[in-house]
Amino acid sequence: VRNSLFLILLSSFTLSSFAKSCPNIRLDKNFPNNNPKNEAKYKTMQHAPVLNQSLGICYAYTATQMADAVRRKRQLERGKSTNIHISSPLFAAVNDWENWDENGVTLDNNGDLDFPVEGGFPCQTFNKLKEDKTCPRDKLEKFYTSKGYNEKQFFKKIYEVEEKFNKKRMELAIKYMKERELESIHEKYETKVDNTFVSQVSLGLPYESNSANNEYLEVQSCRAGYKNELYNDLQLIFNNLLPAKELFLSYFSLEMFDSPYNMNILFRFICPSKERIAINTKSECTDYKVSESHIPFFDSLTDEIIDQLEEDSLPVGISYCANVLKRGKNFKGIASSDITGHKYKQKDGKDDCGRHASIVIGSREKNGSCELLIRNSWGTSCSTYSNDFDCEQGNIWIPQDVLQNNLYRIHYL
Amino acid sequence: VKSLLLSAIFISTIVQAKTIQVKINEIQLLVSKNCKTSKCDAIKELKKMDLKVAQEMEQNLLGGKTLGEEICRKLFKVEIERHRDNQKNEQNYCHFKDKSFISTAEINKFIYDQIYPDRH
Repeated sequence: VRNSLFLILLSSFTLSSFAKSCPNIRLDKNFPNNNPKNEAKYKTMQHAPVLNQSLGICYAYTATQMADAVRRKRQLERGKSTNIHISSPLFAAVNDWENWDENGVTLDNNGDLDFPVEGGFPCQTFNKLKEDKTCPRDKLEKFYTSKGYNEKQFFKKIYEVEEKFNKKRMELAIKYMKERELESIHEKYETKVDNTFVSQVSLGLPYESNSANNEYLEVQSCRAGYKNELYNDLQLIFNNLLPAKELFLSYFSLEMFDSPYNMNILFRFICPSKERIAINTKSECTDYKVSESHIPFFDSLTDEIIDQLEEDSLPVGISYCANVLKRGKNFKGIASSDITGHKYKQKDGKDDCGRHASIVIGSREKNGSCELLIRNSWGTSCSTYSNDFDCEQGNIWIPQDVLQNNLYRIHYL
Repeated sequence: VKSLLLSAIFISTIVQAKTIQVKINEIQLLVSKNCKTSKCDAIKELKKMDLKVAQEMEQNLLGGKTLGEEICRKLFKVEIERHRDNQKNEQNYCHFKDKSFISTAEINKFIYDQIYPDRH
């Protein structure tokens, strides 16, 4: 009996010594009537609005909200009143062009637009913004709203104009080749000299072909720095394709718009470097995966989130199964899914996770359990969410263990 | 605090002034006031929505896009408008040609309450 008592005492001591505390923290505002007292050092999310994403760029919303909070923290540390600077998530998504779908803006089988920027990684986008600076949201919005577009219509217009531009450019390229008695080359490459080739050559860039077909070899010789006569001639004429450029001038009043990453260039033109705002931090954004072995024993990813909130007063990015928010506390997105890389799928192959990224901006103890406050980017309405969770204008309190069952990455500075 | 509270009340009053509660398939939803009779486009579209199609669409959502947005754009084929209050908080609404509207979150509620009846 004595031994068992000792074991029970020892195990309870061990567990309690490892058990994490649950501080009452809110980065956005104080608790109602300041009860409990807010333990946050700085309210770095104060006055930061609840956003409503439209495109599938949750990763960019996560990255820009983290960037804006860093800036507010610097102001608070210096005792200044905080400016409400809102960075453009759309600029952040387009700026992270390495994340783009290589096909660019395309139409799906139903004729709907596929957006090349949907789906991504918060830290990658944040770190790219750290290099290139953020664009004020108003700046980009003013540009397309002044032309009567919302962001989706803006993408669609870019797509349409790009199509017209490419068509015109192809017509001119073929006309030019025929005039210069290059028919034999045209005949040889009739199906091969495509938009990508013309686009790349017009910029003097190497032609990136996905095909290993030998017929491409001659064209691909441009890649090795060898510019043949055709290449040089085409480059010359493409640089003076005024009729095609006029199409763009008429829509966007811009001249620079003919590269493979033209949307990126367009956005940088609208929001030039001198008008962008630096993220003044030396820290890189780092990802931690649920399977990462460096997480200390007994220290879960959600414990790490709480530590970060307590230490840095900065929001922590999370990648998680957002289906939990709709389906309630018993939903286990991770446990019920097969993990393959970034993808979490059910055994029948259907995604039953609802991969999403948001930020965590608070923690509290409620009825003996710890809850984390997710600031989502689905607007202020609470109608989407299960009644299992307390929801305040688009901010959702979720029990720590429930989030742990649905969390696959965290992102912090 | 008072001014924040007042502005919150003011905004909710505006939204309430523009919306009414209706019951469709036993689900309470907020829709625009011009849906007093069930003839408005918002209600018509909701009633004829195929839940199986909606469920399939949910499987393919990328980057945290919401089902309500996707339904509005691809099934209803109408525009989404982003409304901002004076604190710059946002909520997206699906706007129909007859000027009726419903928030994308209410569309989510309409679907999820039916396909996940035990979601509380």
